[in-house]
Amino acid sequence: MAQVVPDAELLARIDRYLDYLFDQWEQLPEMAAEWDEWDPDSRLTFALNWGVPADRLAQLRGWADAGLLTPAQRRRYDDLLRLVARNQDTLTYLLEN
Amino acid sequence: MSQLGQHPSDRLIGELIASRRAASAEEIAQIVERMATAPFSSRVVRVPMKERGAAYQGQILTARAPSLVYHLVKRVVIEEQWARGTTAARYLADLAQAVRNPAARLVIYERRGQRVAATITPTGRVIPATRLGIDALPELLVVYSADSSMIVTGYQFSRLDQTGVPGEALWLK
Repeated sequence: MAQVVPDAELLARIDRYLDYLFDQWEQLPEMAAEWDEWDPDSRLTFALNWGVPADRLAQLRGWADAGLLTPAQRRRYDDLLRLVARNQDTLTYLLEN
Repeated sequence: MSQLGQHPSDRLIGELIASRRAASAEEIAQIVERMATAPFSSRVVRVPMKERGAAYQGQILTARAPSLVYHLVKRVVIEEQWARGTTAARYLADLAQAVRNPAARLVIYERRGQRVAATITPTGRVIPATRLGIDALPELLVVYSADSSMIVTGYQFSRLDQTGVPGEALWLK
């Protein structure tokens, strides 16, 4: 079977998504620490806009499952999944409180 | 649950969510018109840590920012869904056009105790390719809060199940 080769545009997008998602997920514990200071409008804004990182993670998962990541991207993606697992409960707290 | 806004459409959205009855064509048109003419949130909102310092058109995000400034910087600089050069007025016009577009779907639901109406429109029906950012996506979501009577966000996405629109949401069109 012919191997699917991702184009340069997709590989660049994957790099941007990885950078973005690390930023989004890394900040959650610090956000939780100051969550009491966040007003309801700010909390709603965060919850509504979380659709973007959630969507990007889902896209990234699809590309990873299809084998479209380079080995270096795959290593970063695996690190990202560990970060997501560590901070999932914090995200749930932020979205529900 | 907070109080509904003062606009008649806000009460209509609240009543439809509570009753889950079918909306008439006139009622749907009323909600769409309200969303298309509503102001963007005038509130000052907190900015997540990693997004502080992002700058665009002379504005730098700090710990707090006007909601429209925050969303413009986020959509253009941080997420690159809209192209550089997009102004706040252009972003708002895109959201209004998305709401009015005949292809737009309309859904109402509760989120964090607020009653909201949202439209989902194919991005390509609203924004020409020349004004899209490098990470543009095929669908455009616009969310209106019937509690604050304001548009509260607008962004592009690819998968509806990741947007936070709940399964029990009521689809009006």
